[in-house]
Amino acid sequence: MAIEGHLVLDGLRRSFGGAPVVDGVSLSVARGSLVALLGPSGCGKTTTLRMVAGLERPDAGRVLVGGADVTALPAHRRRMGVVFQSYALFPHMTAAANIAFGLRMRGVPRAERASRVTAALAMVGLPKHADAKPRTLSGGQQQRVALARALAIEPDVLLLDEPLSALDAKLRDELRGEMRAIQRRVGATSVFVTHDQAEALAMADLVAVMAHGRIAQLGPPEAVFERPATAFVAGFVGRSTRFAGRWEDGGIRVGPNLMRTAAARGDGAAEIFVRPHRIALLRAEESADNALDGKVEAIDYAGEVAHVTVATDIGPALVELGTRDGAWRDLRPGAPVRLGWSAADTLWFPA
Amino acid sequence: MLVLLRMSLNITTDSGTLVEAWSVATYERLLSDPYIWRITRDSLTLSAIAASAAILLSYPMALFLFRSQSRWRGLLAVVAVAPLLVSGTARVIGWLVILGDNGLVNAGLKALGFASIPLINNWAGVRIGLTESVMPYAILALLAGFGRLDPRLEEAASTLGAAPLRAFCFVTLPLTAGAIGAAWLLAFVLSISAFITPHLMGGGRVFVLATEIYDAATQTLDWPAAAALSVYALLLLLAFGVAKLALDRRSAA
Repeated sequence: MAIEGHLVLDGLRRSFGGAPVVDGVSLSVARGSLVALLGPSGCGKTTTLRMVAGLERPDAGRVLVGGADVTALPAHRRRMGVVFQSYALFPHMTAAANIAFGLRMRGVPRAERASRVTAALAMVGLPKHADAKPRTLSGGQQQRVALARALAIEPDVLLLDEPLSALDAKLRDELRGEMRAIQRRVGATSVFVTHDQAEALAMADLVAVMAHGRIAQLGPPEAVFERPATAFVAGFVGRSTRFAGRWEDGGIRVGPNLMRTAAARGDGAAEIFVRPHRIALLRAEESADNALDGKVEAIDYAGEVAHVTVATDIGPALVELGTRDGAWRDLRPGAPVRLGWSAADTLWFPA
Repeated sequence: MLVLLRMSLNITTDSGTLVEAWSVATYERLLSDPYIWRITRDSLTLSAIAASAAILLSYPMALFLFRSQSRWRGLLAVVAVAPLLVSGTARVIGWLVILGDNGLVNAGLKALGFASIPLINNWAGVRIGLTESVMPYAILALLAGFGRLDPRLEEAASTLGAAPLRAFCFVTLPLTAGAIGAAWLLAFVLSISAFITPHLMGGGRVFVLATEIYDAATQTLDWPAAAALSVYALLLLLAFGVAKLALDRRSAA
């Protein structure tokens, strides 16, 4: 593969006890951009990150930073900042001492250390917490100190291992935006690992969806969401209505329905995915490429949208309705509805 | 305990007979005896040396056991604490074989052309034996402390540019200081109360509080003195035990 991009992973492989955990991961990250490694537990994303950091040695493959091969370098010789899932702040040091640690190891003189620590604390929004010990800080504050500590050394690459997973939902949302802003401002080439697809879609320039130690799809968030490359990606990223069927002339047969897709023809068994926000409730006179009758089973109100589950004779359908026009309020469990969506929005994969 | 206390209040006359009394004369006699003070000082010094040597040897072993991923780990752990399963006397006999004038160490030295070193029936032998006998306890105490150490911390230190030695000095060592203190105190307290090792490996030439108590009780039959010394030793142990509790509480915070 072409060796370009600031951070390049080239065919990384790692096995534990005979079982391959990372099975040929290659990735090129442009300078200053943020890549998310997204996948379920056990897909190899954390092991990949640890190999980039130098905390694990790959069985095969290379890691290149700015064109230079760093694979043989131990972690303490790579100029990378790492934010751990548990933050790993040194409990016996204050926040300021934690942040200064990397600078101390690099021989930065005391006066300069002090000013850089102050700047780092200001950047993460904790200017008054220099002398606090980690155990007196809240989860969100600890996270910020961990980030400041990783960035204080002005690393070539910033690596984050599920940085927000230990926080509650609201804090996660807030910090997501902050972290992204800081990352952009600093311009650090970054890779972060997460199992939360909403987080990956919101934060990353590029998403690498991983499964079984390999990258299933690499692309910008919208591409991964709207045009998933495999059934796994379609199922893992976002919610979907799924049907199982078989190709016939003109479409995929699912029970009594013939569903049209963007493709003209195909063969064999197929799995259909349709994104909930692409399904509309058809009024009597409306029509769509694909239509389905059903009964409302449940309505889950989520503030900005309402998740409606509709029971049909070929399986449940998930529909997402915006709440702005209030149409969702007219729905009652048991009410008959007609669902419709376009052929272009009918994603399918060979089963 | 009460019997001990009661006995310590009796008096032994100059001719060696026991006189029932309720006096602190025995205590006065002992505490004004410079020999007793010398014994105390020797006991404390010996225990400090044994505890320190035990910690120095146990720390690397405990760290290795804690970090080791190898499948020998379980076996090594058993080997490390196996001495606890063997009675003190049997261990000492083992040491006599190894350290004796014709034992392993000296045979090796002679074969290499060096003179033999007297390692039994003297302070050196007692120090070696005592160190080894408290090491299993020190290892266990240290392992308990390491259990609270987050392995991610050393990883974090290395990603921040700390080579393994610096990561150890700046992160691991300070964080295990509490465990080291607690283990040292444990080894120290065990050493002060040790009797078999100084008695057997000292060959009658090493005098510590424990041997003194034994001698007073069985040789000179000065029971009040033996009882008083026992109470004295107990108070010493209590003082150090309290210190250990305080340290435990602080390192658990």
